[in-house]
Amino acid sequence: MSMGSGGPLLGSGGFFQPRGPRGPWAGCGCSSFFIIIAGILLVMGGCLRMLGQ
Amino acid sequence: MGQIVLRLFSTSVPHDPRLSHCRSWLSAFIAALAVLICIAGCSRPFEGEGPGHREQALALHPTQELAIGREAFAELLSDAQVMESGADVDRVERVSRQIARTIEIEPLQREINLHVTEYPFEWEYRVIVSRQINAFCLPGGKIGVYTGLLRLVRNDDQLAAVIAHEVAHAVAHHASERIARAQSMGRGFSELSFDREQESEADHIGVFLMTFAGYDPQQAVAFWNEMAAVRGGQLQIPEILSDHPSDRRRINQLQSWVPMAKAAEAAYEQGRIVPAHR
Repeated sequence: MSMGSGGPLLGSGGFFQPRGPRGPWAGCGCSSFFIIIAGILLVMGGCLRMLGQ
Repeated sequence: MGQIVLRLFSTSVPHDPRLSHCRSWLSAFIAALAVLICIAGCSRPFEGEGPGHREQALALHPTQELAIGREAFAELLSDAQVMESGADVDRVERVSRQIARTIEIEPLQREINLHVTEYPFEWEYRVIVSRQINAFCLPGGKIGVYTGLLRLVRNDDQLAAVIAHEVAHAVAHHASERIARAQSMGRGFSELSFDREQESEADHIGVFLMTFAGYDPQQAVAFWNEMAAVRGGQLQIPEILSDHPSDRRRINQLQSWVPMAKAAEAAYEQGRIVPAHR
């Protein structure tokens, strides 16, 4: 990124950053879904293991 | 089919109660669009870098984009009630011209990585008498604004926010990109509407365009806040199932981009620009 005395220069791409300070563009949400499912499966696995002992 | 076309080229307020159903006059346009898509389908999508230097495959060559825009605009207007003159027409022309001028700012093109110099834009602006709260910008720069939207926006800055968003779709070649995606994935016309990434990108580019056009980008945030309030009591489609970002996400994103757009415009005014040829 080209920097001038007062920050990036126009044309460097320093201002238009698709992945902005508050995170990337809206995702499809699939990753969150899989993380939740993985969590549920872990808990269920733990419960089954406890019951099996 | 008409609903698909309107979704392809317009955005704005998808769940508003006043948003009426699309008109049958779009059907003839569909035929023309289908022919052009078939022609485009004969050639492989060409790969390149889109806005923000992301990967972007496009299906249409510059002249094809313009041809689609011309055809669609003529078809849309042939059955619509077009306002010929008056304060609304003057207002839409004034704001649209301001937005369109920003496309010619070369350092801004490089900042966003817009590919517009090789694309012929024939800017036209029309006001359509309709209760729909909607606006569109067809490929090639054919802008239409519905009077329903004009009654809703509180000032020119808010109108600029909507028009800049629509122009952003056109200058980012989103329609061409969607056709390329549909071709590569073997999907039908139902998959041609702008997706959430493109909507967010149009918001992002739009904030820069309206700022460089001299409008207050904070009014984009204000407009969508008001839209969220209008829709407050209605059932909203969960974001995961919708083409559009949720209101909250949209507002948060816009809010985060406003200072960057203002800083970019200040850099331009101060001459802090990367030299074009180094």
